[in-house]
Amino acid sequence: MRTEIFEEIPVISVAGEIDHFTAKPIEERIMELTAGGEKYLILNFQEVSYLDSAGVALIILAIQKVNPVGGSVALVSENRNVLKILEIAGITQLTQNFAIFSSLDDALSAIRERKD
Amino acid sequence: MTQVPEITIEIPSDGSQLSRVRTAVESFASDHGFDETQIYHIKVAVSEAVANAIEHGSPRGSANRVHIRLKDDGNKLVIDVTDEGRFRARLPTFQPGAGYRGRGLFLMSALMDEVDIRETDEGTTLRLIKKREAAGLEEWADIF
Repeated sequence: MRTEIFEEIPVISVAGEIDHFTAKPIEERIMELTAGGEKYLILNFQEVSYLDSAGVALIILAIQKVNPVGGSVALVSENRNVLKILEIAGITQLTQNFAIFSSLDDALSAIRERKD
Repeated sequence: MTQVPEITIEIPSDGSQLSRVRTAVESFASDHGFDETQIYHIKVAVSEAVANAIEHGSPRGSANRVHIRLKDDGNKLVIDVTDEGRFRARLPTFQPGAGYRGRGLFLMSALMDEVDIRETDEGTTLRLIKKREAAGLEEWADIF
């Protein structure tokens, strides 16, 4: 996992598998960033090959944290297995303060637009 | 390719073992002819069941063990995840703020054909069943 800031937008990039064990440090990072006042967050899961309900919980956590301050969360993934899990969990139906993008550039553009 | 009809994996009740379990599940399901999408679904369901066993079915923490048995039962794959705890304590909660806690069980039900829970004095077994897909069109063409 690495965190980078693109034009004041924090991007958490994760590679590999997100399960109930590996989710912990990602959860801590989301908590740190949102506690530090970040309104916008990009979860770059482009390199994530596996995700289960632990990953779903992370996304919901991020949305819950930015929601009260009117922020938003952008998720990046093109992996159809990952997207299928999000669909079953009902995440893909969330439209307020959350959207899924197929590239980091698209996610950054969308967040920039929201910020302006 | 040699097909072993049944394997059992025993792990200490520790989250660091989840990845290892998924690797074994993938290998077994692949050897037994399940496709990539089915294998992903089986991996998620088993991983959720094992994570559940670790979190709620292990009163002595990592001193407890979790047993995962994979069995090819002809037209279906049967997976038993057995822990050393009671199931009642881990039913999903739907309180506000804890809305995602039940999703593990929910995903298992959505991804597998059957999910069954059996509780005994020794522990709890969660049985997951994935059926093979019905014969494809090509196979029907061969039959008729």
